[in-house]
Amino acid sequence: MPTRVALLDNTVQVDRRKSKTRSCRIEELLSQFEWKVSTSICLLEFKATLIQECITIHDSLRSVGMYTPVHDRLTESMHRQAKLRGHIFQNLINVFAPSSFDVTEERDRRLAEKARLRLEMVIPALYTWFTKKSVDAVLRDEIGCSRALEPPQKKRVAFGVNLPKCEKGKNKFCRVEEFIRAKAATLLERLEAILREGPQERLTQLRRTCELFRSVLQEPGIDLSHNDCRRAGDFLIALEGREIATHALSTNASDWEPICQILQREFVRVDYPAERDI
Amino acid sequence: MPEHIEDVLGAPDTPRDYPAPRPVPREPEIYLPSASASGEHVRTMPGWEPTETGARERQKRGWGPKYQPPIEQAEERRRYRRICDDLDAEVRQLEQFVVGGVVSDEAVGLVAEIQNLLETLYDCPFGEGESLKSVVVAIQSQLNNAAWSEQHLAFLRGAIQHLRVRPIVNDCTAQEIHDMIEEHGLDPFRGTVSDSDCVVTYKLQRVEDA
Repeated sequence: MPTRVALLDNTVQVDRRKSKTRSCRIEELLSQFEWKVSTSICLLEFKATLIQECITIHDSLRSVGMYTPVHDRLTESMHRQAKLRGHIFQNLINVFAPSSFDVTEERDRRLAEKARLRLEMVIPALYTWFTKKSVDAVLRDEIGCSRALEPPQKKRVAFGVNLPKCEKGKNKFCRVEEFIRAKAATLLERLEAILREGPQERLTQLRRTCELFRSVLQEPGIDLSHNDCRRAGDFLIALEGREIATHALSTNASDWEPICQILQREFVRVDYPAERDI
Repeated sequence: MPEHIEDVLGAPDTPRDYPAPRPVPREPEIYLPSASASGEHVRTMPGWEPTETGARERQKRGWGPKYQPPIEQAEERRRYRRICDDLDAEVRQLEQFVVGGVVSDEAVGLVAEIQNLLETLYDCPFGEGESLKSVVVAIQSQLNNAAWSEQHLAFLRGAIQHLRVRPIVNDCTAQEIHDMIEEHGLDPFRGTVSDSDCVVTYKLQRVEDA
């Protein structure tokens, strides 16, 4: 068994695909570990953030049919993922006009078509990258999130619904409720203690996690959907990877430090020194 | 109409003391799984039949007779093939301008011509649906706004040669080109800044008594 196993959270996985400089920095950090693992809930988060935004851009390019208006509307909106969309346009879509480019409607439509076709390649490739190339294993034996196991698929013209609502017996076959009951009951006290003592404004996600765990423990017939799991996303990722991982890597120190403290794992903060000077 | 030469000439006489013919050595058995799908004369392993899945997969990749280019697309196919030939010729010329693993600045005209031919290929109405456009976008994703190196050139040469011999272009072709990106050591998610290394460092210095 290797002595240093890194558990990667969604922020790290997304940053590895955001830009070259970030990817290089993360690879440098990961070279210190023997194994790299991620979990099914992390894959769910990856689908809900990076892949979902790619699908949103694809849908807009298809319906509007022009590049510049779609780019401007999606990156300048007040949406919480507007910055991520900017990264997708610059680093993943990566279509460029020739130097003799003259902004005409026809040329703009051509760029939109190229961007759409590029995304049709990139979206399945991102999922394949996460599951087969990015880590040594995606741990899914304990929760086995059904939404995470569904690769994004293009239908006739558009991609199918990325994250349909989880319905037990229909499209949900995971064991998240049993997992929370088995693992979280013993941790709830420590979690509540940290919430009482720690800075209140920084522990919003932990508070949401605590509420979710309490409701699962109190209601035997509760049926969680992927949105509920995402409310406790970081904690579930850490719990799912606890048996194997020795270290947890994330850019989000405020949430992950207390989680690692509770689960007695070492936390490695991923930062980008090269970006501080910009 | 006689079918055999023996019908016309009669059976040849064989003298009794004629030595017995030497046995013809048998050809080694070749076990190739593409016999029934492509109609080629290939022997199959005894007791082995190609599975439905295998046949479907081969047909999907454009190897089966079903996927021969239809006659209505003959003109488009000719045009597609001509563009591929032109691209191949340009890439061969470009190979002479590789210095130290990088395409030199003297080849800027050739690079522009290749980019222009790729745009022409993008507009060529050949292949299933938008598959040819996807192919061109996959190629351009590695070549646009990049300093071309030997790796780029090898990828471009491989992609063009692959396209030239394809009877049809479909979604699998685009996927194959996408796979070739990694096979040639390029990054399918290369990002805008393909190389962030510092090449030259400049220093600002105040000049006294200017």
